[in-house]
Amino acid sequence: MVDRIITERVAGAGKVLFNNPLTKLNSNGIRYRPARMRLPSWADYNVMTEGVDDIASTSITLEVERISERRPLATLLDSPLFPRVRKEYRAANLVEDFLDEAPTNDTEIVDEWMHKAAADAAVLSGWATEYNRNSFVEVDSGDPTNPHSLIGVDDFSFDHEVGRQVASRGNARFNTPEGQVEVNNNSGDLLFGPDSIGAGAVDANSGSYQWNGKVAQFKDIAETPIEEPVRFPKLNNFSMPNVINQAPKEESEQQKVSFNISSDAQQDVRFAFRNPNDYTETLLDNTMTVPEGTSQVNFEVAAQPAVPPVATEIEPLGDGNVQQMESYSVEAQ
Amino acid sequence: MKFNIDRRSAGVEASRMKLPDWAGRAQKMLPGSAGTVIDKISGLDEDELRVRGLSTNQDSSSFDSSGLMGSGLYDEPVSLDSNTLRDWARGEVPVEDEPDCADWMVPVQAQVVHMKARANEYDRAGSSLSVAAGDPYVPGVSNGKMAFSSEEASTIQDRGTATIITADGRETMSLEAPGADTVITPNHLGWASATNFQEQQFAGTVMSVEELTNNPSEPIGFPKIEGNTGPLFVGHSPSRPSIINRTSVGIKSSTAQTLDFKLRSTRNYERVLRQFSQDVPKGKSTVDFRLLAAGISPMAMEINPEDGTKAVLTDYSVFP
Repeated sequence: MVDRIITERVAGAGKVLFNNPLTKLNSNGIRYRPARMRLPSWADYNVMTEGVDDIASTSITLEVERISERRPLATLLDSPLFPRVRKEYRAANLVEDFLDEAPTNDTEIVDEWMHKAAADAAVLSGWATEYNRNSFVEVDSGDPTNPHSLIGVDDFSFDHEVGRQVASRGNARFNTPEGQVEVNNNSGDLLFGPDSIGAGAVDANSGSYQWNGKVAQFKDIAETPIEEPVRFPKLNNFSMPNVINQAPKEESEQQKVSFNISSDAQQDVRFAFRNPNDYTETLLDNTMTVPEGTSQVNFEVAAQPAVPPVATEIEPLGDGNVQQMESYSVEAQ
Repeated sequence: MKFNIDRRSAGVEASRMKLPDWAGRAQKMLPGSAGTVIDKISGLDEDELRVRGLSTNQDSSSFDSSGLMGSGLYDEPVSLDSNTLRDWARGEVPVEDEPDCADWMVPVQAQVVHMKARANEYDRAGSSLSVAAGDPYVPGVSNGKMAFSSEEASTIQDRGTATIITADGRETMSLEAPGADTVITPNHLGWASATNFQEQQFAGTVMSVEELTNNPSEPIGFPKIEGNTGPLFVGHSPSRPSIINRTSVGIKSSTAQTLDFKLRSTRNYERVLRQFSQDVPKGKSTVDFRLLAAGISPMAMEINPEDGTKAVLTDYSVFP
């Protein structure tokens, strides 16, 4: 259980509370950057201990109501790397665009992995720009064998291995601040350490030397309220979840939470609360079905002595047709 | 803990600096005339911050890269030498045997391991440096704080500049290409290089300070990409407010050269409070100087070696 709230005094911003420091040393003495949640100014030890315990013993009812058509992709932001590329949440839909723009010539532009990596980068960097309006996630994509140009993410990385080995074994080795894990081929995982959050996705085929790795590291978790669209990147068979810092602005024993979500088709979505003191602990886990179009999701949550800030995980399941989250707000009752 | 700047500043991830507890509080503790506060240092004119007693003492005449780190990605040789790393990368990337591999990946892989190693050293010194390297055309290069705009190498060569954009896409700046330069805004300290131009692909690197390392005591190599040697940024952090700071900078250099020093405001990194140069011989040396002002508070120090040289910052100390 939490024994500390990090207090920082920042010029121009005053006193700011966080659940984790900016950097820490792991058990091997390697410095890494935890996933930080900015805590509301009223947060204290009791709320971060008893409140978190209490919320783990509660349940919520998610009410889903379709309110309008699916939002157009035009509401998403451009990729800062590729502003000329159309807005998308499905990387696969951009591969042809990159093949048209930079056809394979077997001297500089080779095979398909470069086009896939660029499509992944376009979708991931667009998502990061949306997510980073008031928070910070780092993303990268490329080939982890050679030249291993995935160092744009600080603390999560793939071992360098030949693509056909990864495809043959069925997984890639992924290094996290907590140690090495395996990520299955043609899929991805969102990985929670006690104070770190990152994601890795793998796309290797049996005939190729190169393969596609995609990496994300959540450094600052997106703060509520969220008022502008944030996509759910779809990378091959992996739909990247969004992680939200559900931080009530005012202290209260009961909060009303509301968020809008826009989907291409009817889709199951997992919704979970994670312990802000140890992200590996799931406090509450639900699944809801959202219809095609834009839906509003409402629920109420109660805890004593007050509803604490929690990390909320929203994960498109199945075919991952969920396009974007439109908003996320928390209001004291 | 105190910091000079909100981590997210103007929508972009900032390079922040940890401040000593006395910063900002000192004004209340000292006579009004002392003015030893961070506000004061930001308002200082260059004439008011003086450098005295600048000297260099050679400790050893041989240059070595002991104490430096590897990338952790491969078992590459620990070296600041571009040729050594490129030779190693040429043996690692099977350009002749694998149709997936192309020539441009050789220098890029050398740059990837070089930049990641520098980030590891900066992290070891107690702080955080974000780097990225790759081909900026396809699949793109970004470290989360800045990125190359994706353009064909030939377009950039015709124009003579590559475009660096902040991660949110709102600001752009030109980088002479081929070449390298600092990328400094009021809230960001960084460096970028664009080299190894082919028809479409080229090699791009970016480096951004996430949190300045204050008075580091462990070695950090200066980034060196081809013939471009980049700067290091460190926090100049006195232990208490004072009108004088005695500063020692440990440097290893592959050749005799002139180092450029720039002291930057922690309120606005674009504002240079004082700059000066000092010659160092080949080998290991200590550069000593005194800073004098009505009141000296934490600052960001930029140290720039000459292009083409290999150099290591071994330590940086400030008294008081």
